[in-house]
Amino acid sequence: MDNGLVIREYLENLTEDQELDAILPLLLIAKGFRVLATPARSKGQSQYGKDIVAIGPDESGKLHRYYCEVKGGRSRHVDDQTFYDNDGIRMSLLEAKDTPFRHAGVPAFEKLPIKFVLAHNGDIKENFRQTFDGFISNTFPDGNFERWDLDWLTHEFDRYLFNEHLIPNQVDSRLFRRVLLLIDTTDYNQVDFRQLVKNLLARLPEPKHKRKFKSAWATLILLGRIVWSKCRQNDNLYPAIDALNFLLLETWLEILRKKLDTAKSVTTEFRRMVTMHFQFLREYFKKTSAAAALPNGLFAERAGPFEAIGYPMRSFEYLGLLVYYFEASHWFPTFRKTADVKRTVRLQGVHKRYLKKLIDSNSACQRPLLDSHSIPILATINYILGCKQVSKADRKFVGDYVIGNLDSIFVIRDVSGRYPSISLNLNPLIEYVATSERPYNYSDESSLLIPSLLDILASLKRDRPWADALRLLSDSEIDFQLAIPNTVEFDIEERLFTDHMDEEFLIESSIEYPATAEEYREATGNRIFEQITYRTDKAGFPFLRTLAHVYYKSEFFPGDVRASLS
Amino acid sequence: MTLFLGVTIDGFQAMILIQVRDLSQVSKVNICALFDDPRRSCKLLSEQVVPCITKQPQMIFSKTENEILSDDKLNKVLKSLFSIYLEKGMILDKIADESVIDWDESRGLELISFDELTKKWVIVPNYFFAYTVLNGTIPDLRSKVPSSVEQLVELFESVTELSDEKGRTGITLLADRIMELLLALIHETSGETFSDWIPRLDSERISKINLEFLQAYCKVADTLPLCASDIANACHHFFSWNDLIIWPNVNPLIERVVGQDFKEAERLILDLPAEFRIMRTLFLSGLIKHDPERAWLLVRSEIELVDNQSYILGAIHHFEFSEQSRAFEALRLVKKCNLGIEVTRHHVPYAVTRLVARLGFEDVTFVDECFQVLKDIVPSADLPTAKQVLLSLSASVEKYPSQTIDLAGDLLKNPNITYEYLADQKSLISFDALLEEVSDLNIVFDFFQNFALCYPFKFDRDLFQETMYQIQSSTESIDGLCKKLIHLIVHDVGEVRYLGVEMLSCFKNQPFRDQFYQNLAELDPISQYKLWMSILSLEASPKTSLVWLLPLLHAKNEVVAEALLCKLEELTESYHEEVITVVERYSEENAGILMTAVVRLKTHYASFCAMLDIKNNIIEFHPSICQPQYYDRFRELHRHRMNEQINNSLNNRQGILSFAKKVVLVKGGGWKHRERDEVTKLGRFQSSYTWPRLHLLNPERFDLERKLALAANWQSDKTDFDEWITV
Repeated sequence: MDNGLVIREYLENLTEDQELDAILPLLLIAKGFRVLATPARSKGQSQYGKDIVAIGPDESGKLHRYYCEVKGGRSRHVDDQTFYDNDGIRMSLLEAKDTPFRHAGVPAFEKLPIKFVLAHNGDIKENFRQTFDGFISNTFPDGNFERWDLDWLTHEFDRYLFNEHLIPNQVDSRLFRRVLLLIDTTDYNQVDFRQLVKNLLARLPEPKHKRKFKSAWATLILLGRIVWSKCRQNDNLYPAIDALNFLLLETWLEILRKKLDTAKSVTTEFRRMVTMHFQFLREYFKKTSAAAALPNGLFAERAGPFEAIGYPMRSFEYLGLLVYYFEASHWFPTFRKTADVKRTVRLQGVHKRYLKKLIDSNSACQRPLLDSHSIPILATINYILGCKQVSKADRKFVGDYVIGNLDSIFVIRDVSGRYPSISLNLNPLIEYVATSERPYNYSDESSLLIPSLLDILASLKRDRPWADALRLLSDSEIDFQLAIPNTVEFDIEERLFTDHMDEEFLIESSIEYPATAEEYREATGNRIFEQITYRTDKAGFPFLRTLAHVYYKSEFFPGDVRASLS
Repeated sequence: MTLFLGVTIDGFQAMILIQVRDLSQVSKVNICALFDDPRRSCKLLSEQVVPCITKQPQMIFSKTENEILSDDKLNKVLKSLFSIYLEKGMILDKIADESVIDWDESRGLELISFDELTKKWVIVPNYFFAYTVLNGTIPDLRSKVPSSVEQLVELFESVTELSDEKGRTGITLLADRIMELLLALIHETSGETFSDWIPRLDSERISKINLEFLQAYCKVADTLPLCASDIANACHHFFSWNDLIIWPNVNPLIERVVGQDFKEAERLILDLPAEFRIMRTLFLSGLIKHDPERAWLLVRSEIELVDNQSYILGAIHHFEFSEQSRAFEALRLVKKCNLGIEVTRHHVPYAVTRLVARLGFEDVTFVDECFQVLKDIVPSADLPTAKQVLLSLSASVEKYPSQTIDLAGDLLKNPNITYEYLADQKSLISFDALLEEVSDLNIVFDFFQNFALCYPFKFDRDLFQETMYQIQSSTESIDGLCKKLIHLIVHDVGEVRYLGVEMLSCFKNQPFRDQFYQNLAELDPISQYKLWMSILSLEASPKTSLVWLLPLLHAKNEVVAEALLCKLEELTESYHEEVITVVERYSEENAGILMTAVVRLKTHYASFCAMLDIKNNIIEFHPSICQPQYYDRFRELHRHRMNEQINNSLNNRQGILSFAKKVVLVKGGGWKHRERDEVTKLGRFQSSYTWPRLHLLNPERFDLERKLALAANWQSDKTDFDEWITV
């Protein structure tokens, strides 16, 4: 298929809201424009025919103010209906002309000539052309009007984004097409998308090549948006979660590798990607959170006995991503450090309430099947206890949550004879549950999860349940362990964003517990774990670490957990 | 020697069986008639005596035939039937054959009958017919008397084979008779005793006639005559063939042999080696019948030797125990036996239960002592011994059901009688056969309760099919039965409650249900509450479980009704509209008595469905979207596992499938009958089941909580029924 056709097909399916008006700024950035206003930034405010405001050169190179009115979806074609509608094209263009736009941040902004633009991913109907042209010549007698239709958009996207970065060679072109074709296919592991992201990142221009640098970043974000919008069209956002998580984490890894985390131009561009990722998650959680918090909302009714595995796996996955979303939301919308404590406290209150509701509604949120389920559990606990205001009720909830998890571990052990699997490979667990027989490769002889739960119980001074749990564990042969990152041999931060961490951990095994929780606190309270100074935090994206732990299923580091609990 | 004679007595056709001990010396023979009416038989035995047949035995069979054929009418009928048989086999044609035979006469003589199954008239294979055939077509047996077992097989097969490849004759008696004739002829002509022939019948090639040989041998061996030692050896060998047919054939033969010569019998009892245990038992049994005093002396002296005890234990019950002293003496002898010897240990239960059963007087002490012998054995008995005890109890159950079932209860506690062993029908150990003989339901219920405690939550009504059938058809009042069941269902002990609910599921008839409803209404509120908790604690379709509880939805006590309704609301989430349908139907049948409940259930279910709709719209939560690989893998493994379990379950049940040949259809269209056009779509089958939603939500916790709820002791666990329900 010709690239133009692929792009055209993609563009013509975009709606106006959050789709066409979200990617058009990317094109403008790629063309070297400075975007001053976008629909995302002016959400809830009247745009007066100026969905996008940007400064940029025209074909002769002369700088102009561009006031763009974007029409997509049902309004993408120009005809008598879309033209004369209330809030239609005519109305918008007149408003754009009549209402001034002020921007103090740009010197001499007022002095720049204006170009009014109608951007729409459709055509003009031939029987309406004459009327439209008449209106334009009357309204914009100076000729300062441009109409960017589907042909124009296809051409420009091809030229500035796809052709330059996304599809510069046959390999990437093939990968891109495969992504478009397969992204919503069941069982697709997104290998093409990952490779494409890697290829794009490998060719990322240096910041000094300003336009190319910007357009490359715009392309990366566009790629994410394409996946997002494809999934939205299919009413299934799930494939985009993995793709966008990977895009974000892999990009940050590349920045860390190239030591660009302190370069302002880079973090500015990366911030756009974080925003796009966050917006996607906001859409995902907006769609799913109400259903998820229904009684057993994360339980798939028609999946039958598979839900013995499916329900807990899905619940912990949801929980982990949700906690990341909550953490990131503190930084939204600028993703710069905020001093708005009031807003943070308010947000945290809402988040805690939802987390409690979600956990209370879904028993599987406290039924760990894998040892690595310590990650979403600890992420949740860290979030609640890391809030600016932690009430007694919060601490009680966390304590009960830990007890609930331990209780489930014991129930499963007593009924099915297994502890959480220490392998990330789910097949032995699936075989175990499906056949009720322990496969030879099911491994549950050790645990990082149980010690971390016991540690939290002790720190919350839930001494009785702590002792009960140890009593119930007394006849088990399970080896309690603690994973400590090996900061001497590895750049732990880079590894955290690279893949699942395995050899990067040093293991303290055969942990033995004293008789009481008090003795345990005395023995471990003074222990100091190495505190890692994260470049990610310094760059203003500390929440990304949670996503990395959750996505790559790398256990939280004891030092970080201890810091949150204290 | 046995002769058969067809005669007419008092206008009745009869078959006379003439038993001749020694033709050359005995002048008169007894007659017993094969009448259905026992009064007529008695009359004949006491009054009718016929002159003895004095002719030498070489032509006894033709002589008998002559007797038969001297009746003209009978002779004519037989000849007609015989010619049809030769021509077509056993089946008659009502039209074609009507003119050939005297239809009414044949029916009257029971020579023909109508086979309901095939809807055809068939020749009845009786003695008359067998003799006629012998008289008409059997080749001249005398001209080629077999001189080896191989020749015997060949000749037997050729003379019993029908023409036109119609197979072997279906007239069993005819074949038997031919074999008897052949054995007699062989012995007459060559003096053969068959001692060498019998072991050769073990070989696969000729073993196909061994049972015919055995039957014929047992019929004629004493009349040929063969010596008692040869007969003992032969019969001992027969037992190695391990067939059910052996006992009913050998037993009468040995009895006759003993009757002919007591001394020889006694000599054999004493002289036969230990491995001839069964033969020694049979000879001793015969001797006890014919000369009990001689036998008693022998038993008293022989039982001192450990090797003799087992064969004596097999026969000792044949003594008449009309006197207490003899019975106690016999019991004392039994108790003396060395239980350390396996074979002896296995025979003690057999002897004791039969002693008790044959007791001719009432003596509680004696009965108690007998059962005490078994009670001492049972607790530590090994599995074969325990099995022998259980099998032996069938002898005492009719006369002493209470003591017998009490002992069966002790057997349940034997560590070797595991549930798995009981459930395995191959083990051939069953309490069902014992219990079905018991008419007192209290005894049966007590045993079941015992069973429920010994094998917690494993009571399976399939293990007690016959007994359950007996209970259902019991003459005891339905009211009494209902009360007994309700008592079990609301029992404080979880294991007993489980038993009650399992038993309840067997009762499906309307009169029982009506009575159950009536008794339900009369229960106190706490028992009503307990009843629904108990019945709903087991996962079962509402169609089978809920139906028992519906009257409680309008119980006088509001707490009972409300609590049950709340439970039903929860059940709609697992069983959906089925719950509502059951309640609605009951309400309609009872003048809309539960309409409020129905509306409430419908409302609850509608809101539940609305919630499901919201969830189902989120396709991101469906495993085929978010966990496709794991979902597919799990389903594949789970389906395979389920199929395996169903197959195992069917195989272990040894039900109808075990009798059917296993055939795998290569293609899936169905099974077509070769000769008819019937097609059975058995090539594929599908089964479905309702899985409680609560189990799917949290399987391990559901199982654990269910187990705890089932096992809860409502007395000791301090359940708060009193607090919940204000009476």
